[in-house]
Order: sequence, then structure tokens, then C-alpha cells
Amino acid sequence: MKAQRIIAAAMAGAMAAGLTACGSGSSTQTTTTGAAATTKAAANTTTAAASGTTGDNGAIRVAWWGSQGRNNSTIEALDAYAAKNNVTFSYEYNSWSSYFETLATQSVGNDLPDILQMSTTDIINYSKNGQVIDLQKYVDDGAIDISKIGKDALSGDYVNGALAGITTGVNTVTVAYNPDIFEQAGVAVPDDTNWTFSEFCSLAEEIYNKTGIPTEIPFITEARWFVESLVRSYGVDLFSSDGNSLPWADDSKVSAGVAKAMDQVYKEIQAGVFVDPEVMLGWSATEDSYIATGKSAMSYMLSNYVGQYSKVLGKDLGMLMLPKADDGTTSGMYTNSNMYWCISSNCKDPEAAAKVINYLINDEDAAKLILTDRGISLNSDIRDMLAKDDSVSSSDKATLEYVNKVNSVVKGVNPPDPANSAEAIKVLKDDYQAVCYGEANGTDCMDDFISQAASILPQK
Amino acid sequence: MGNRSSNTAGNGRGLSKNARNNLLGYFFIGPWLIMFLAFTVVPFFASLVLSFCDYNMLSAPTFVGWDNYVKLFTEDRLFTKSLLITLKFVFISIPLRLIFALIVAMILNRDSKMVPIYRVVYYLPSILGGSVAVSVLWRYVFAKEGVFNQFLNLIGIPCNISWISNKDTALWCIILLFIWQFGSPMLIFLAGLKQIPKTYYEAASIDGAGKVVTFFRITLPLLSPIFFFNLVMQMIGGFMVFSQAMIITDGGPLNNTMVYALYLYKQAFGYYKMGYGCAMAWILMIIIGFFTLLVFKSSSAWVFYENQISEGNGKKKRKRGGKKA
Amino acid sequence: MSRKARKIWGTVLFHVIICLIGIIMIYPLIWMFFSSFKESSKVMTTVGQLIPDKWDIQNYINGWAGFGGTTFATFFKNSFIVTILSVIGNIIASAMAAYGFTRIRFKGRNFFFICMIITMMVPSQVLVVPQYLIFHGLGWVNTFLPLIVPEWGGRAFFIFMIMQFMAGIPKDLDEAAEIDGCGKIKLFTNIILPLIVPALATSAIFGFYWKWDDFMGSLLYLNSPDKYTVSIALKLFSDPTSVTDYGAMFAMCVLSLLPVIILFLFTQKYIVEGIATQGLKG
Repeated sequence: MKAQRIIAAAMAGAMAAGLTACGSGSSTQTTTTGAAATTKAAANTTTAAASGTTGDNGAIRVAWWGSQGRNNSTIEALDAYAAKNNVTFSYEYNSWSSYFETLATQSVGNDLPDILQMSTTDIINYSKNGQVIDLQKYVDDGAIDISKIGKDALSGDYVNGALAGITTGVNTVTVAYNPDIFEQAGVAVPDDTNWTFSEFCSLAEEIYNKTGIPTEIPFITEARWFVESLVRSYGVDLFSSDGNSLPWADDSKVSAGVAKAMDQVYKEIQAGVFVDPEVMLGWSATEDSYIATGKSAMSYMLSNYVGQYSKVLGKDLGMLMLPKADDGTTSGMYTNSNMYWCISSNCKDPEAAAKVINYLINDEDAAKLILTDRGISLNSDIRDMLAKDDSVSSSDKATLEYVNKVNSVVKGVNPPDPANSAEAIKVLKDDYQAVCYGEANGTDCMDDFISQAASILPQK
Repeated sequence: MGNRSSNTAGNGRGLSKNARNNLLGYFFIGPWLIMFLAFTVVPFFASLVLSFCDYNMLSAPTFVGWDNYVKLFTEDRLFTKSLLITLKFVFISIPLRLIFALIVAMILNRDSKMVPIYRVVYYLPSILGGSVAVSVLWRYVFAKEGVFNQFLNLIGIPCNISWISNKDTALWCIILLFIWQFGSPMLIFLAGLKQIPKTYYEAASIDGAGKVVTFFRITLPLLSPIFFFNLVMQMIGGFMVFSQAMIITDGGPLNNTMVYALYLYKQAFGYYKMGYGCAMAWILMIIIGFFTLLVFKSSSAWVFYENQISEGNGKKKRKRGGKKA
Repeated sequence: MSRKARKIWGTVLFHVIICLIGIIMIYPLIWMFFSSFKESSKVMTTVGQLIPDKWDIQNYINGWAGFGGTTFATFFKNSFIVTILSVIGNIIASAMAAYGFTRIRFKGRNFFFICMIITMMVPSQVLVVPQYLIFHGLGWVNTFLPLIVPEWGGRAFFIFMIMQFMAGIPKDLDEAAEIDGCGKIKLFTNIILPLIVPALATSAIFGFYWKWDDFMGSLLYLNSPDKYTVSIALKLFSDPTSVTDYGAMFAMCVLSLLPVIILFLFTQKYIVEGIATQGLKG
């Protein structure tokens, strides 16, 4: 039969494939490495072709994570730029939870987008491994204008001496409070320039005793922000400037001070003054939290969240600076880069990309679209403009004002987190939650964090 | 029931028959084999090689020997913890999920106008997967002031723990979510039940066998290949459980729901330790392989194949066991 | 009479219980459906309330608009292309491989069967980087090919499942057919395939849903928004650092579930009306 012959031919083809299969199966090690090498080589040769498909005719690929609002405003701002400047963009927006997974994988194929939005925890890895370029050159030649930003404010952008990215905007930490509940309890808004954690606790107690309204546990899901503010109130940074150690690890005064604050937290939880940790960890959305529903008096949070919580509450939350440790010597406040704009090392025209970044951070029209979505701009002109702009909400204006106030207390912006810090921070978070659950005390927590951090942080 | 011996096929017909069979065999598994060789084999062994490397994905891997494995077993507290949590998860949720799936499949295996609708309804939870709606509602139901506690209070059991973030009960919320999504094994059971020839049931009812006897004598044995499949696949899936834990608790509280795959993911992509993640993956593979082998080995005792006696299948089984052992 | 009455009562009780449990089972879906008609800012503040105060389709309009001019029409189109092309190839290849593994004794069969089972045991997270390199080397990144082509080899899950169903088909059938002069290929297409329709239908449902819902693959290989699938687009609504438009997200979630539900409704009869009963009186 004819059919049989055709099938036989097809089978022969399949068999041939099968035989090659047996070959590679039996000598796996060599073949694998061989194949990997070929793939790498192939990857190199096809890079141009691949990029060609992604960004048509030299379009600049811009990647960020965000929500619908950010996606739309960023695209609108960049489209406006493209219309004026004879460039084209291709946008690669993603959700936060998967953004860095994609970037890491793309970096393996030398296929990173040209302009990257980068987080404070991840930038170190990309800079250290040469995946993002030093932008100093483009600042020096004027492609990126920092005259309105100031060299001090850029302190948060350097990784091992290289300008790894440009801060999109800063944020800071705050104790958000509900003014209505303060009024109801008949307590005055405290002077936050020099207050201590014990004073914060007594204030929470007072409000609780008078109204039965509790206060949220300081940063139960991000212990790092809490501990950092306490540590810094002793005049030391959380991580050493080389990123290899905790500079305060041998200073028993600091760790004892933090441990004491943590024990106080547990005591207040037991007393009902702080919200039950089980309840707090059960929240998933802004709308669940007590501070956004008027069921708690105060809450530690990042300044860029205040607007969002105020919106749900339907009333602007007040903002206080974080209290220092009881025997701390200075304010523990600090500002952070909210995120960065970086240029990847496989960008073919970094000069053009640098100009785009310049537009995003310095242009007033762009700022009017993006507003405070990526943090409070470092550009003083833009800050002034936003403070007067009608499209900026009152809570965003309050945040702006608050960041200005914090800036007058602290100098410069925190450097990016050191390598491996994500894992160390996770240890701290777990230990702190163990304290809140009564599984450990403050001293256990700090001892464990110090010893774990010593082995997690790079030893060089 | 197909017990007739059939060893006439094959052996006596000479080489050409074997060659023909080889050709035919590779023709049929050809598409799978090509894709397997093209897209699975290399990544598979690459991950083994990477497990002996320090690899952050952003720069080239460096060979570190057994370091990753040594570190896993000596320094990493969370590794042991996540492994134990995963074992607990598998041994509790898989039997329950299978039993539940089988019961519902049997119930829905009847003829009635409404039954097709019911099948959709009971399958639907599975297609909600890891969506946000599930995560929101699960938290809402099992929160301190959630629906579940309100229900308990209503029936006179005072309870005010937050199930989802209590360190002892959080894992149970995830187990429950996993069981709730029993649609896929149910569907497979349903298809399996439908494949059982009605004549067997007719014969049984003529013999006067009751429902229980019929179930154990006919349904279970004839369904056993399907049950075997579901057991193996659900077990493998259970060991790799990931999205349920990620969307509901993200490993918390106090890492009490940090299942193995979630921890692996965090190491590989969160901390840029792909080499370490690969080492974890290979350890997991050995563990899953061990349990799968147990199930395969035990299967000759309880899995009934219609063509069991036929020599081909028997040989295949013996070989399968022999090679692994 | 009493027996008949008991039977009726039994049936009623059956339906009542099944319905009650059924409502619990799909409550999240019902909730999501109703929430998608609530005012977006109210979705999370009125979790306990099922029926919206005011029915509003604004969420569907906002959601459908997508991001920066790329609407959900694009995302749905992409999802359909990827899903349909991969499911068809997947089922054909899976059925073929299953037949090869169960019914043909060839050299290397056991070896490859074990290979297949083992590949299911490796968490996919550690395979993505090498796989990406391969697709990158082929120049397939930012095309649908990496999502579709590997599926044409079938999935181990389906192959193994169909094998188990084939194991229930008496071998006598093969012999009878062979004696009648029917070759292995004809035996497969004319006799075995019709007998495993329930398994194929099950594979189709799972294959469709898994591909439709697949996020990791789509995410890594599709860079530009005009190639995004629905599963990626749904994740683009939420961001931990800004307000999530839950209303729009749920509205699009509801729409994204429709194809899966419709497919299930149409396919399930092939699962339950198996042709298996005929010709199986071995």
C-alpha cells in the first residue's frame, strides 16, 4: 500500500531523531555542556535579530512594573517625548511579583530592555554584575541634568562608586495617625522631632485606655524599616557602606536598645494596645487594614502609602516622624530612593536612553502625568510645581511637605541595599514576627539576626 | 474480564517484526521525543550542572562542588522546615483530595438533567486557580472576624483565632484550599467511571450483588489504573505545591506555610541563588522519585489492568522496577 | 407507593444537598461576578456584601480599555491563538505517544517512559533559564512559538493519563484487528482513538485551561504588550505600591473564565458519554 510507504518514510525520519536522542542520552555531561556552549554562541549571534523583533528599527525598550494607572501615565509621558524627539519606544510593563524574574532571565540571554525601572534591593545585583551601566558619563556630559537635584541627593544612587541608576523619587518612613481618634482621646499631637519609642508606646496606651482604639504593630511585615530607624538613632547605618557587615553588630548598646523596643512591642500586644499580630498578618489589601478603616490610631508606614490609605479612609492621615530608640542620640529618620531608572549594558544607544531618563526626572510635563507615583521627585522645581498643582491630591501634597520636613533633618538618601541583603532582611522579618507571636524575645531576635547576617552578607 | 492469556503476539515472528515495532514505536512517540530532546533534556541536565555552581543569573556560573548541597543540609534551617511542611501537606491533602474527588465523581456519575450543571459547578473551583478573588475570599472567610468563626459561634463554639495567620492553623487553610480545588482528579475519575462497561454492573446485579459489593468488586478494581494515575500525579503535584501557598500566606506566619517549592522559588529568583535553587530541585526530585517508585512498585498488588496477563505489560512492569532499583 | 415516595424524596434530598455544597464550592466565583459590578472603590470595603448596591458596568469598560491603548481584545486574541494551537497539537501528540508506550513493544520504551515520568518531578522554576537560552538561540523570544511548539510534543501528564485509559482496553482487540489485517496505525486511528474519547476530552479541558492560565511561560517569552496574553494582563492591574482597581480586575477575570467554562460545558458530554461501552465486551 502507498500509505504504508509514506508512513515508513516518516518513521525513518522519526527514527533518525530517535537515534540522535540515544547519543545525547548516553553521554549527557559532555553533550550538555557542548549544547550549552552552542546555545550561548547561538544566543550571541542572534542577539541582533532578537532585539530587532522586540524593538522595531531601534526603538528604545523601556521596562517597568506597576499598576494600570502607572502603565497608562508612563506610556502617555513617553509617547509625548517620542512625538517631539524622533525616537520610538517599545514598552514592557509587568507586575511587581514577576518583574525581576523576567529581568533575570532576559539578562541570561543579553536581552535586557534598554531602560529599566529598578528597586533598591535589586539594583546592587545588576550593578555589581555589570548588567547596568555607570551613568556618571551621561551626567558629566549633560545628557542627564542634575542641577536641580544636587549632588547630595544623588548619594543614594551609587553602587561601589558607580552611578548605577537615577532615583525616580524618594520616600521615607512615617507614623501615620488618625487625627479624629487623637481628638476623641483628647491627646495632643506629639512633638516628633525628638520623641522616643517609649513615648510612642505611652501615647498608644493613653489612646487605648481612653477610647479602646489600638495602634498597629510597627512594620510587622517589613521589620527592616522599624529596626533601621532604631539603629540609625544611635548614629550608625543598618548596613556598612561596603555592604559586608552590620556596623553595629559588636555594639551591645544598639542591639540591646532594639531588643528592648521589640520586647515593648510584645508587651503592648499582650495588653491589647497594639493590634493582634494574627489579625494584621491576615490583611491583604489596603482596605483590610485598621488604619484605613478608622479602627486604629497610628500605623508605621512608608510615606508613599499614606495617600492610598487616606483615600480609603476618606480623610487625610497625619504624618509624624518615627520615634528614636530610648537611649538613641539622634533622629533615626532616613529617606530612600523609591526606585531607580537604569540603563542596561546591552543598550545600543545609551546617550539616547540617558536623555529619556533626563526627561522622566526633570520635565515638568512628564511630572504632571506621573505625579508622585514613583516617589517624591528630587528635582526642587518639580516639587514646587507639584505643591501648587491642582491635580495633586491634598494627601499627596501633605506627603510632599512631610518629605521636605524629613529632608531638613537627614542628609542625603540611603544607599541601595547591599548584596544578599534581601535574605538577611527576610531573617530579620521572621525573627521579629516570632517576637510578636511570643515565640522569642527581643534579645533572641537580635542575636539571631546578627549571627545570620554575618553568614549571609558577602564576606570579602 | 480479559484474563485470557495472549502470548502469541511478538516472539515467534522474527527480526523483521521487531524492527517494524521499533519503527512504529518511535513513530508514535516521535513528536514527544523530538520536543523532549529539543526542549527538556538540556535544561534538565543544565539544572543538575548548575546545582554544583554558584549562579546568580546575572553573571556566569562558577563551579563550587558540593557546597550548595552541604549548605542545605548543615546550615539551612528553613530547608528542613520547608521539607517537613511539604511532607505534612502531601500526606494530609492528597488522600483527602483523592477521596473527595472519587466520592463526588461517583455521585455525579448518574443520569439526570441537572447533573451536567453540577459537574461544572464542582469543577469550577479548580479553574479559579491562584486568582486574586480566591486569595481575598480565603482571607475573608478565615480571618478573626471571618465567616468561618461567625459560623462556629452560631453553632455554639466560641472561637476567635485568625485561622489564616495563626501559626498552627495556617497550613490547614492552604490544605483546605488545595482540597477544594479537586476538580481535575474528579474529572479524570468521572471519565474512568464512564469507561467501565455497563455489562459488568448488569452481570453483578443479576448475581444479586449489593451496592457496596459492586463498588469493591467491580468499580474499584476497574478504576484502579485511573486511581493509580491520579495518585501518582497528585502526589507529584502536591510536592510541588506553590501558588496556593504563595497567594494566601506567602510562606508566613513564622514560615509555617513555607512549602518547599515556594522556598526554592524565593532562593532562586528572590535572592538570586539559582544554583542553590537547582540543588533544592534535585533533592526534591529524588524525594518525589522515591515516593513515586514506592507507588509504582506497590501497584502490581493493587492496580488491575484489563490486559494484565498479556505478556507485554507484565514485562514492562518488571523492567521498570528493575531498572530503578 | 411508599417505595416510590421514598425514591422521590431521595432524589429531592440529593439535589438539595448537591446544590447547597455546590454554592459553597463556587461562592468565590459568584462573589467575583457580583463584585465586578460594584463601584471599584467599594469592592474591598464591602467584601461581606454580595449584591452590589448599584449595578454598574463601568468596571468592564475600564478593564477592557487595558493599558496604554492596548485593549483586552488584543490579549484575548493572543490567548486564543496560543491556546488553541497548542491544545490541538498537544492532544494529538499525547494520544500518539500514549499508544506507542502501551501498545507497541519497541526498544527503549521503558527507558523513555521513565524519562518522561522523571521530567515531571523537576520543579519548572529551575528549568526556565536554560529553556530561555534555547528559545533565545532559536530567535523565538517575543513570538508565540516558545509557548506553542513544545506543546506539540504532548504533555507527560496527558500521555500518562491516556496510557492508563488505554490499559483498560483489552489487548484482544488489537489481536483481532491484526488478524483482520489492520495495521498498528489503522488500529490506532480507527479503533483505539474512538475508545479513549473521554480521556481526550479530559485532556482538552485541562490542556486548554492550563495554557489559558499559564503565566510563567507567557511572561518570560512575550515582551511587548501587543503580544501579552490574558493571563499576563490580569496581573497588570495590581501593584503593591499603588491602589489596585479591583473592580476592573474582577471584571476582566470574569471574562477570562468564560471561554474555559464554555469549553467545559460543551466538552463534558464526551467525557461522560464515553463510546467506551460499545465494543468493549471483551
